[in-house]
Amino acid sequence: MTIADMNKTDTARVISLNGLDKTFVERLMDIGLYEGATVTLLNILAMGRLFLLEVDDVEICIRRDDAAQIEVQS
Amino acid sequence: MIYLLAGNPNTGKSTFFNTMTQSHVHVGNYSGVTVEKRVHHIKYMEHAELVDLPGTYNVSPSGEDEGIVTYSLLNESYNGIINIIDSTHLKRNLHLTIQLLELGVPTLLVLNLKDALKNNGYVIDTTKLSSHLKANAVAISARNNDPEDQHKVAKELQHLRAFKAIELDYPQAVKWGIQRIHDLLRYDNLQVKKKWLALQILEGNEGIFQFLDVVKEEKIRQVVREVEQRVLDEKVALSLKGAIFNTRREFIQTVVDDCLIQVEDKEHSKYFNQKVDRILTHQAWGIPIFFAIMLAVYQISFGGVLGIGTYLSDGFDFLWSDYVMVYSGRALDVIGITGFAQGLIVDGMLAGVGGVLVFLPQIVILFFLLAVLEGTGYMARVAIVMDKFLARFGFNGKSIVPIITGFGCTVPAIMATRTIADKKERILTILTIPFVSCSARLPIYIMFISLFFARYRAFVMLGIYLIGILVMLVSAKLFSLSYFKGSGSNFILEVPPYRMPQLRTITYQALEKAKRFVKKAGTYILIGSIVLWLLANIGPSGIDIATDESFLSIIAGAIAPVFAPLGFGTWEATSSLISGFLAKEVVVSSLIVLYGGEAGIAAAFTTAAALAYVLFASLYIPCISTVATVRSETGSRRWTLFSVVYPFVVAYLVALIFYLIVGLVA
Repeated sequence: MTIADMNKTDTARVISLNGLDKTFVERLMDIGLYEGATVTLLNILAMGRLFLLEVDDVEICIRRDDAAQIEVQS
Repeated sequence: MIYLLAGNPNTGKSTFFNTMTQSHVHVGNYSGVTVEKRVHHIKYMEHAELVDLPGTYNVSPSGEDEGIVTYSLLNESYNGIINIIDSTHLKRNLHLTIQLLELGVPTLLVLNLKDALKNNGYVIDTTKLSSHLKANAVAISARNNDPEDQHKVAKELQHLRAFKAIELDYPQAVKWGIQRIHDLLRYDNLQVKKKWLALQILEGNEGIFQFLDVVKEEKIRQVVREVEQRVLDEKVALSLKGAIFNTRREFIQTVVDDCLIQVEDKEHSKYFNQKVDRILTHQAWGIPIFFAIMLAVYQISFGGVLGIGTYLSDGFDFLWSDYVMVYSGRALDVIGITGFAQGLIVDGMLAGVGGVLVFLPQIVILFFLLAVLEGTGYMARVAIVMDKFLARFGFNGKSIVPIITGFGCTVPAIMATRTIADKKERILTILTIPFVSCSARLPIYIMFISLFFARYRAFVMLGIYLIGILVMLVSAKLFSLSYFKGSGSNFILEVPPYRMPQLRTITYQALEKAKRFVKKAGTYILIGSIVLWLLANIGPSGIDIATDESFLSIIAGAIAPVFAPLGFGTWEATSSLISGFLAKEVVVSSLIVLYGGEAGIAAAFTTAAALAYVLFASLYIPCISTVATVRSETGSRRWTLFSVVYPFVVAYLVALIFYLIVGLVA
């Protein structure tokens, strides 16, 4: 399962970010999204293009393509 | 005593720096890089200085300002560190805090945004936090500018002392790596702890190698590779960096669980956000809402109806030309300054500076309104709404804020690109923003439209703006297909909660911009006006001569043939463009001075030439302040040169095309 498969208000644990490039992973890490982190899907915006997530105490928005590369486990 | 100020971006670091310090000691550059280094005196302390470091999530940042924090920690002389922390994002902020505390340098933790945290229903137990992290902590709200808070900070600084460096329980492989690198560095003479350096190297801090013996570099890199392999083999984490990150995150979790205390249940704010988001970021309404808001902002700043900015600017213009200039002239007559010298002061200096200051009220109001939108958190939603459209052209969703600011003034627009973390996307945005018509170009359009296109006023005005936007988008697309390949592909946007903006902060931001604008008028434009007036009134035959015998006509006359194919190869038109490099507003004032009024201009251009001139003036080389900002923000001479040459070529081509088309039709 990836973040793109989550339903609104679901909470899940990140298990892998293998499909994303290194600099992108590092930027996600700056915000706190990394393996082991708990993410909550707050909202899906722009007709399913953007995913609004909560990681720790930060709200971030990423694109569906990237969300589909982040494996999670509920 | 010297203290370094470190913290994540958007933690109120600048606010803290500005309120906690008084006079500046000096502003310089860090060696080898163009990032500004600010050093100020700390309030309520004798002989204490604060050095502002760039905002960063890690000691070795991935984005801009690379290496400065590492460089400062290793090479600057300092007595301690102040780590400013956003209390409302404690978990994330503590990653940097831990890296700083691992140094074992006296460190004061300043927990900022105390009030905002309280509004969320939480408080931080600073005593517990201190004992967990082995460092003193103090909670404040920097933006209240409260002397009591500042006294507290100063008092803590006076008693600041070094605790034992914090040591986290990293995975075995990492500990082994730290020991190996530590052993390799045994005989090096460095001002920071070697175990800290070792850990930073393992984390991927490339900046450290330049301070080490080259011979050792290969050996150290070998150790890093071995540790990385062990981390993967033992399935500790997905990467070495990740292994270190996870250890810190677990530690932070226990600290935060123990120190962050909920005093009030205020969860409902999140649901409010979602409700409003559903409307403002709606697929269909989102963009119209955005345009409606922007239209309102522009109407209030620049519009005729409802336009507070326009009224104020008109009022200023009236005061300046009917009173200041007239009475200055009379005053100068009285004290015996007449003729050439009076002309220099009144027609050169006062007219030039006044012609630009006229726009001050409009610009202050524009910036004020944009700051309100930014402060409410709406701009992040705009980035969401515009993401799809902008990504198509290689922009970042965050480029929208700089682009909008660009309609006001290109200089703050370029500075606003700092929020774009990806370097490629940032430079792409910087290079294309000058094509967006800034308000300084507006007087040129207004004058030419009223002289030549009075019947199609709104149509031509809109057309000029659209051509600018089109050139920006096409350029961005071209760049993203060539040198900036892959830009527009990444998107991480931090979405702040909706907030009631603080009047203080917004006024402060708007006034800062105003100050910068006045400074520009007082320096570049003042000097430019004087030089232009002198060049136009001095010639080979002496001073106080007819302008067509002046040096200006000789210089501009030599360049003018270049513009002949565009229909305006006269020395007057050319020299106005040259002086427009100082500030775009100057193009209008120069044309008026050189052609002796608007009637002279109307007679000198054909309709086709007038259109070509307006388009050229709109798109050509950005003003000198912009070029200087491009230089300081990109830190690259190459891109600065490009930002001058490319627009010139584009402007020439666009003007030529329209000149030929209109010539054919007419």
